[in-house]
Amino acid sequence: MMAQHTPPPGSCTPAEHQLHRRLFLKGLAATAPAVTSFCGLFTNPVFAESTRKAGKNVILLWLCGAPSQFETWDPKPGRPTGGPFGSIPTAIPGVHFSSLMPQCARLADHLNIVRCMRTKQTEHLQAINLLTRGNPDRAGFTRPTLGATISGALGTLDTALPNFILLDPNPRGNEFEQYKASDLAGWLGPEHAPVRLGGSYTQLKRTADTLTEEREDRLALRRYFSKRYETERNSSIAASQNAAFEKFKGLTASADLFDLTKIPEADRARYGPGIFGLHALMSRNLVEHGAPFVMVANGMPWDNHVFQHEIHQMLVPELDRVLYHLVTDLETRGLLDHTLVIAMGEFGRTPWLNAARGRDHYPNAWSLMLTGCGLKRGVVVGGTDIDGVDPHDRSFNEQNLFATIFTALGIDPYAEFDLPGLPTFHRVEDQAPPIQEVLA
Amino acid sequence: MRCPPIVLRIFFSCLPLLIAPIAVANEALPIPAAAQAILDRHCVKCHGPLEQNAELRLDSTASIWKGSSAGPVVLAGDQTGSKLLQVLAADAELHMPPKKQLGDKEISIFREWIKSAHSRPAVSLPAANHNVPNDPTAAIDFFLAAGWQARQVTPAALCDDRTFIRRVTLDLAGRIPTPEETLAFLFDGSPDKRTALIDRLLASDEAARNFREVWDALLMGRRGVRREERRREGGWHTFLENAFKKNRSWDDVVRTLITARPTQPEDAGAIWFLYERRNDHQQIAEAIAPVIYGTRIDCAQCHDHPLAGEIKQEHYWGLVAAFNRSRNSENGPPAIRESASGGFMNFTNLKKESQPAVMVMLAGSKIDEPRPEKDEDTPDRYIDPSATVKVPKFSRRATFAEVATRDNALLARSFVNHTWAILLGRGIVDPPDEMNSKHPASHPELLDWLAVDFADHNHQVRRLIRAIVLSRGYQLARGSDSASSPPEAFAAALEKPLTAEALARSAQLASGRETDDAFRQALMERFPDSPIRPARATIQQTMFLANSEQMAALFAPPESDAAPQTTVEERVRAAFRRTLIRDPDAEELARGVEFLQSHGDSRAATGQLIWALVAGPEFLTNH
Repeated sequence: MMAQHTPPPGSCTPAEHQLHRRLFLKGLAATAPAVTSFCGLFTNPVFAESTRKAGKNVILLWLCGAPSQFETWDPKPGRPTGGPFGSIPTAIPGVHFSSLMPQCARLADHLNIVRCMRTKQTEHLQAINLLTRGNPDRAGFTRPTLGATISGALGTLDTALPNFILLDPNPRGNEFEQYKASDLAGWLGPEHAPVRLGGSYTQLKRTADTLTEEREDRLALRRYFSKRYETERNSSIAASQNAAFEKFKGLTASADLFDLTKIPEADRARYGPGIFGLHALMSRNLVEHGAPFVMVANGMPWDNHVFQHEIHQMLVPELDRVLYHLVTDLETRGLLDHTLVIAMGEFGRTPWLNAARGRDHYPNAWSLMLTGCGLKRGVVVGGTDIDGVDPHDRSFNEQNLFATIFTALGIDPYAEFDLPGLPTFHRVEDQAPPIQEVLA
Repeated sequence: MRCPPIVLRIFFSCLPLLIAPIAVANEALPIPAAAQAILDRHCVKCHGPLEQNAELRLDSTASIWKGSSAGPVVLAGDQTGSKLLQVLAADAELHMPPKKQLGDKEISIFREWIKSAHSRPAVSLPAANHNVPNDPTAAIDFFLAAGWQARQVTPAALCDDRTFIRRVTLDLAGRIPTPEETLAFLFDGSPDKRTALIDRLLASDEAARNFREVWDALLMGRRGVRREERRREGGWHTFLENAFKKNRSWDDVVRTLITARPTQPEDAGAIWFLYERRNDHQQIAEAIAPVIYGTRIDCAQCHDHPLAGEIKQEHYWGLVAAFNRSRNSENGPPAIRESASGGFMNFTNLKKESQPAVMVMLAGSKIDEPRPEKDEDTPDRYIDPSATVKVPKFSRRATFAEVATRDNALLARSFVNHTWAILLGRGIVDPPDEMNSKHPASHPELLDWLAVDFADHNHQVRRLIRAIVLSRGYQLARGSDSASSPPEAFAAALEKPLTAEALARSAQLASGRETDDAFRQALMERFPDSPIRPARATIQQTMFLANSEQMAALFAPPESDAAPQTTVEERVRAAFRRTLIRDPDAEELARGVEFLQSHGDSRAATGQLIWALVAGPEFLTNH
């Protein structure tokens, strides 16, 4: 037993790790796992090949800071915890959303809501890691984030668009800023790290040098010098830098996708004036052009410890509008059948208000939305008790969520990773089952 | 996640065993690294330090030859009789690994090894150690030459003066040399001009700044602009720079940052190593381990190291115990207080056996500590009970700091190996923070000798750096054919990516323009790699180099586009000299001239020519 010692948040406790170790040591980890070596996993797996052909994509609307479930998917009108906003009926009989979400309410039969998320991290950084990596991060073996895993499993290395695009124009974002600066590709390596675009991170447009017309010339000159160096010195660093320049060249060919002036005004108007809507719109276009994984974020706006109702009154209608148009557009364009859309934060908010009229962090019972890519539609999974304090019966954690996502994408959720010198890992540990209700 | 070490490396590390000139027994025949790598990946989990199914261990040479409870598993030269090979077959009755089938390629590596196990040629030994020179630079040359001989590789020639001034200025000052510095060095006719340059650089403030930047990244990690700002304000940067400027001994530096009770105002920042980690004692333990032991021990949190058997779970929790009475002071200026009581904890291994965590060093010694019958936090247990930041009479931190820096030979080995890796592009043990039984040294005697010499000379940082950069090994040219000379032979210069800071300053020098700190910060965000890890290029870096406003501004034409005073050829030469510290060859010159002429030889075109060189790998690496 651990006496007088509490492991810091975000670290695996020996007990958890022990369970995992014991499972694999005793060979109980899986009935028939797809055994794949670390190196071979993404180069030639049968399942990934078929998935690639199927052309599956993911858009993750990352609501960083964590929205309140009460003001979105799981309202409790009239209860002490419910807040000032009412609830409205939705396209699913008997199901109500917050009155701040009228458009999503109309579209509810196209969405799936999980109302019984229950996780264990109350701090942003640890929770963001938990909910994007599917397991706690630990020094020594950094787990890839969802985008990197999907880049590895669904992406190809020779496409014009990067396999993992992070659209976040905001250079700041408190703990999210730290997260963005951390290793998001883990053991998969930097070729699966996100390419960050959006705002001033989009540096694809021709820059203001006087040789604008001859820019290709400048790159060609660089290529000449650096190729010579690479060949003569047999330099591996040069090889990887030159390869990055070639990929960059491919990406610049798609620069129009990021060019705000090329996006029709009518589209801009529907998604609204905010930067979040703009990038959600961009994600739609990127998916249409084959990007496997696009994560849309905008700093950390949802962490409303102060004046929660006032700020949510501004943020939720934007989310309502953006999500409505995104899902509708994907459906209209025939993309929703192979595009998984997820809208979530890293936890929920407390049923009670603090002294500053804010809601604090609450991982015990919260909600998220996911739809598309062959999932059922119009399913509400689980629920919470009358005040939203706890899930009223079952609950799901990050592992169940990740197993659901991978299953929907046709990726083996329990594939093994054999890393030299480390224990065996699985995409999802502990054989955690997916959320069956939403799987077709 | 690195390439498996090649056979020679194992060979060399086993030299002491091979000193006996005749009839080497089976037990000492080294396992080829490729075969050991397969064993490590597929077999050692059940036949290694953690579990020994059938009493078999496959994690070391001796244990492999020893075999299992049922006898030997490998018979030298006998493929059919070797049980290890039998169980790998797809139709084997007792099949291994239980849930997997090794591929033909892997099995053939085992076959090759077992077949040739008898006929392995002995390595000819270098001269015995009593011939080692006393001077550290001469000793480095001596051991490296012995290694080249043993590996039968021919070292590259000494690098030319241009290569040398670029390399050493980048390594010691964190920037490329200016055209003026380069010219002065080239025209300096004195025979010891390289030594003079090294000494001038080492005495400069730039060297202190460079040392701080590198060791800040190693000790604290790159954690973004805000943390960097706080470190600077907290005096951490000053502490590290002063350590270098005043030639403070490394053991004293480490002692000061572990004890974290600065007595001098200029040491105030020393607490930052603990303070930034905000009472996260495991994180502190994981950060201090590579410094004092030379190896990461993160995975020993839950169990003994699965491959490096000497790293036990007790070592991990022993380090945690050294710090777990310490907490950041909430009141007043930043300080680390320490309780006189508490901090007794147990840890549990995989078999659910529990044992108390005590401060135990990796080398084995335990630190005694008074364990009062009643562990109460009484005033008499503090030196001054009324102090704002109370100091206990028995301080775990201070006691541990003493042992870790005065009675711990690994401290010197770690610093020597890290410094070698920073300067040579690869550790004698590599990666440099994995100095454990799983990572043999390429030159064990050299590492031993340098570590002892470093410790014997008061852990003088500048003396060690000077010795290394003066050596022939550091001053070699780049090899023409890397295949014939493995990197661990150090027979040719290895390439190292520039750090973000060095890149920022060098790009500025190449452009001839001033930059602001935002430029450096932008580069640090995009080039975050640790100085001791292999860096890999990303599109993010490319986007910044190719298309950012900041880079564009750096290489934009000057306001007045007056006609150039010099010829086109001279302008191309000047661009090469300024950026790459060398002249273009004939082809490069012709290509550069063609580029400038096709743009009417404008100043703008010259800027773009310089850009094309700066954004290339020759500029972005030190080599």
